Amino acid sequence: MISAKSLRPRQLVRSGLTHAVLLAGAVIMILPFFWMVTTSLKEMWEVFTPEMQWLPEVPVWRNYADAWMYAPFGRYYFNTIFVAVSVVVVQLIICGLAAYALSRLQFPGRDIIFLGVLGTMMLPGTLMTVPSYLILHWLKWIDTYYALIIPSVFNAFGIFLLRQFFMTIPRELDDAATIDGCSRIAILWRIIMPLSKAAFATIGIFTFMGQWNSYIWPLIVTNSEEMRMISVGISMFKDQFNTQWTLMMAASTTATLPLLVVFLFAQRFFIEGITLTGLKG
Amino acid sequence: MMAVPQAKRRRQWLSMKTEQTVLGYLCLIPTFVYAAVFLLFPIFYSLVLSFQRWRLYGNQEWVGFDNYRRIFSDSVFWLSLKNAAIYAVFFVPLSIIIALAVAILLNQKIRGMKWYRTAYFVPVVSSTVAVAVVWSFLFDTHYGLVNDWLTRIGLNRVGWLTDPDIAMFSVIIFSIWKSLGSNVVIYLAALQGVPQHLYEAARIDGAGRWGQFRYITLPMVSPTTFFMLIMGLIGAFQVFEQIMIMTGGGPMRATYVVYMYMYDYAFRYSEMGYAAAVGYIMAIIIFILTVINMKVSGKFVHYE
Repeated sequence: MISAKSLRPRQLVRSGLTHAVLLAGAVIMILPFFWMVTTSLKEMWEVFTPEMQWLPEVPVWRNYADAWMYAPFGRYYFNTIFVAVSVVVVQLIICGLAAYALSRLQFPGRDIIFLGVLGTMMLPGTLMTVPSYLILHWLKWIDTYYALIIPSVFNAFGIFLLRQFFMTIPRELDDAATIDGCSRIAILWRIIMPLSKAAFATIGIFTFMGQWNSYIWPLIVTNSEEMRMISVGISMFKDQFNTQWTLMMAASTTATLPLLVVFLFAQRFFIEGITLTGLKG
Repeated sequence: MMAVPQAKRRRQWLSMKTEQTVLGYLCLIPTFVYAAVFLLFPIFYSLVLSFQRWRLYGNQEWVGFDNYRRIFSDSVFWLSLKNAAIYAVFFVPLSIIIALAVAILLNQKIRGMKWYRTAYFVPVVSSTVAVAVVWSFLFDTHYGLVNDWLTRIGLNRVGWLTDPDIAMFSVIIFSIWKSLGSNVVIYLAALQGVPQHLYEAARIDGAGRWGQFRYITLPMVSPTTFFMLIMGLIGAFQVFEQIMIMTGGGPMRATYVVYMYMYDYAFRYSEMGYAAAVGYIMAIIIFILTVINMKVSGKFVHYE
């Protein structure tokens, strides 16, 4: 750390300006969340008063009780977590197996298959929306957990990421395990996977985040209230309680808080995941 | 090993090869099944559908290019395309420029860098729908925080989401706010990959701060910029969630974008063939944009 004394005045001014700009940006980033939480704890008249108030006089926890009474947020939570966890588990299995085949095994057609997997990342979602809906319609899966889970279990980028990661694990480990009598699948299970925990965690956490926040697809394939995921629930809540800002902010807090807590504890994986996304280019 | 006869060794080697082939394809079965059902089939079936008239519960009827003709003669389609283009033209470059600026500031080995990074990243991990609800409140004409501040400094209230001339820009502001953090983190990684000796050499040659930025930083991060540009455009043409929540496509269709147009035809009017045709047109536009981008950027992007 450079102490303030060792800095020349010009540098001091510059670093001061840098901090001022960054701080202003950070405030813009965080302020909406602050406003969301404080509004969720206000009385309605405190929102509508011309004198803006940063904090409620007395926190009104009843807003949360009311919001949860008007809409089944418990059910939304359950649906969201159940779907997100299922997608993560199935996706990691599919990605892990595919990445193993594409990095560790030699067979004809392997490189073309890998290119094909990469190519699917360029397919725009607009092309898939209608036919994917129809497939689920024919399978009579509309408004079921299958419709929410199955179409999301594939992750081309996840396969790419894991493949790159597996390639950095020395093959000598495989050979040593083979001599000890390990089968190939046992190598994947007992050597490669434990060494790739970080890569799996990164993909898993990103998928979980994507599922928690996903809106369009759950909106399209569910119609009953019991099947709604949290984002759809929030949008329906907004349609119903438009202008009841205290209730709506309580609902929004309900939807954002769990993931923010996960983020603060597992920040490393989020940052790593985004960084790796950029390296794709 | 030495004792194993040539023939037996070859047989072992062959069986190892078939074993790997069989196992390799076994591992890829889930991937193949998914790709066949949810990727390949939709691409072809979309095309077939786009030549049919089909209300979900009625008969499928072959209509040739009718859907395409109807789409191209529908002024609402052109409006929705124009709106998506406006969104893309402002959102993509602005979000990239601001992200690069923030990343450069953060990259100066600054105190508290991690705290700033966390702050900028918080909107990225939040549900788009939930924070769009919050911004609808901030942008509310009568009770919103933004107008409250404007009136405090003596300005008039602005109809952020109710004025057709302004609503799209409010959505763009929201989208920049929401996605800035991820671009910042990507740029930070790119900046940290620029070798320091390049800057030292430039300083010795008498380059100032601007010169260093213009001739070293910018070219060195150009692959990242290019990647963001392509991904940003693909995403921007499919913008949907924040608009659905903040304006619902209004006021007076000022924020009605092309994905909403497709959504409405598919899931409100159940015109599956028509919607599939819209989907195909969008995919082709995105494809053309990507190709143009690659051709143009190819001249400016610096790869090591």
